[in-house]
Amino acid sequence: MPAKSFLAQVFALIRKDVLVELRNKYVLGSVMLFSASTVMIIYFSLLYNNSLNVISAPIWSILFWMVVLFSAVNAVSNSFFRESETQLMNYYFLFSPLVYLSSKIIYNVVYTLALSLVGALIFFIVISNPVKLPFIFLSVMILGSLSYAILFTIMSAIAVKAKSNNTLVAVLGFPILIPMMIFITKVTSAALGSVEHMELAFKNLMLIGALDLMQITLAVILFPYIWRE
Amino acid sequence: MKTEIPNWLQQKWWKYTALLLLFYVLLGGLIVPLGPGIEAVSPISFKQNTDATIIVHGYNTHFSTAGNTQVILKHAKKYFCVNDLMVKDENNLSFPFKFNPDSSDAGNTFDVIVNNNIDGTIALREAITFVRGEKEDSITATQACEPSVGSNLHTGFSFPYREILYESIRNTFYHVPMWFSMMLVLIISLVYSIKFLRTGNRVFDIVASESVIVALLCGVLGLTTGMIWANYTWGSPWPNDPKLNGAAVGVLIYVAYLILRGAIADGVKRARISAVYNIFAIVIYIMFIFIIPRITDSLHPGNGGNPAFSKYDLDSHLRLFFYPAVIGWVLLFCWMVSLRVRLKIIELKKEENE
Amino acid sequence: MNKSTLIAAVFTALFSFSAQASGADDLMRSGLKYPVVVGVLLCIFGGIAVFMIMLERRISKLEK
Repeated sequence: MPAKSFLAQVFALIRKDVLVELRNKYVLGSVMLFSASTVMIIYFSLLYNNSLNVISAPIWSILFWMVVLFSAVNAVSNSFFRESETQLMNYYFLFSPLVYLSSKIIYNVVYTLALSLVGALIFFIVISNPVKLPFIFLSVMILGSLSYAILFTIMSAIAVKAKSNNTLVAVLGFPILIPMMIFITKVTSAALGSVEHMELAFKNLMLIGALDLMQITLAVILFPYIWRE
Repeated sequence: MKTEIPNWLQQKWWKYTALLLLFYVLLGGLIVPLGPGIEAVSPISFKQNTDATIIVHGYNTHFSTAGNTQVILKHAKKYFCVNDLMVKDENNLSFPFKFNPDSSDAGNTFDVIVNNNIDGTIALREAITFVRGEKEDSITATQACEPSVGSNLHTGFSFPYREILYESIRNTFYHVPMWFSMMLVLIISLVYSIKFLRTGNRVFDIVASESVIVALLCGVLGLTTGMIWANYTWGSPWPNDPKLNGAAVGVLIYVAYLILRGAIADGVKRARISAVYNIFAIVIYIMFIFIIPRITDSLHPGNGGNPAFSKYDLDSHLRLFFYPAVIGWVLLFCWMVSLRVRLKIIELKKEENE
Repeated sequence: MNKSTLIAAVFTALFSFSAQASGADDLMRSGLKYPVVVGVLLCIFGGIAVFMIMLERRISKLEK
């Protein structure tokens, strides 16, 4: 293994993760079903409260990101919790912490992005499609998924090392997520509004970007200490 | 492993300083009276061309003992001087007023200003509204005047009288230092978490975790004092205020930290993992509390057009108690941290000897 | 014994001082309610102080 370059190692790990995911198709299916049924819960609650048509842009974005939040927690923590202790031990001897972290982050970012796209699609079909600025909506999806994925990757690593479960991931991650959630939902509701909000949206997008960058830096610095256990 | 205790933790002088300062703040902060102010003016509005007797209710004022009492109504740059003052007692005075201005004044809200040689100049902003009457008579208009307010200043030693806050201004000595202490103790915890990760010395982990516990105490105390205060001043225990929300998020994060610590049995592993979480959380948290107040309005002084004091006009009498209060509380909480740390170090030593 | 008498004496003195210092010209301070509140608060604070000092002593003893 040492002959391989950093990137090759990362992609080998990602490939392994994808293969495992595809082998257990019911897990993938259950995560998708999880988002779909959450959207359906929201849809029916709105419908029979006669508020499907009066739902405002901020409420739409908050509901949407809550759905993504819960499926992301499940998906990301699964990618850690399904690995047995011997597997983790093997990785520990085979790969540097940075390789392992990068592979997990890249895999989870893509996974979370896919989840949020699917969630958005179901939202568009079932509830409504109020998006007016697709470009901003897409950028906030990417940056938002990035924040979710990095945060929950680190928190899952912590929870796995603590020999705990998914609940701990949520407990540890949610309070830290609050600042990001504020900016993400702000930009999303701007993307549902009109062009006047363009400037505000860009400003908040930059803030999300800055927070993401900070999280990545912290993750890179701190992950080796968790990994050492 | 190095487990000796830093010398300053055992020294007593700063602990007694804390107690002395807090005692001074507690006693002084409660005994010093509130300065004079106008509590209310009734009626709050009246019609043009009606005779009204306007009553001014003062708080801690000295209407009957003071001399040279003047009352002036003011709107923008226009003044009406009041004659025929009738002083009822120290805190109440009244005057008859017939309002017949030129039509431009109708509908305006006037400030009431009282000046005398004991209370100085006190005012109630936007106290009376003059409503337009049915018909404008040919009675001569009330003359505006050029007031020559005596340069009287309030002389007694007192805390400033502020609308909305009133006597509750004393809470400044308790509520605000909680926030300072929480921030300081959290920074101590951050520093020691980093130190722990660099050296692996478990004493540093003890300092970090015990600081978090004390920070939680500060956070909870700050939240409760803030909630009680807000309930009496802004009318709701949870006014969407960034600082209050910041404290609440801090409490959530650090309860999660303690849960994480509780979930791990092994000592060294617990120390390392919780240090990682602590550093990760605190960096994001500090960004949160420094960014959020800049993008939203705050009810706190100095933010978003708040009528309360700002840190720049913190009254000099308040300062005499506020700064000692901050120092005293910070030292007290540091003392608490030091006690807990020393206790844990003893436990650790015992563990190692066994 | 000696210490507790001292503490009690200090608190009685302070209590009477706080009762005296409150002027009667003040709405909040007229009546006996306010001095009682101040006294109770001082007692609570004194309790905390005594507790902390006792803890300090006990831990110092343990360290030796």
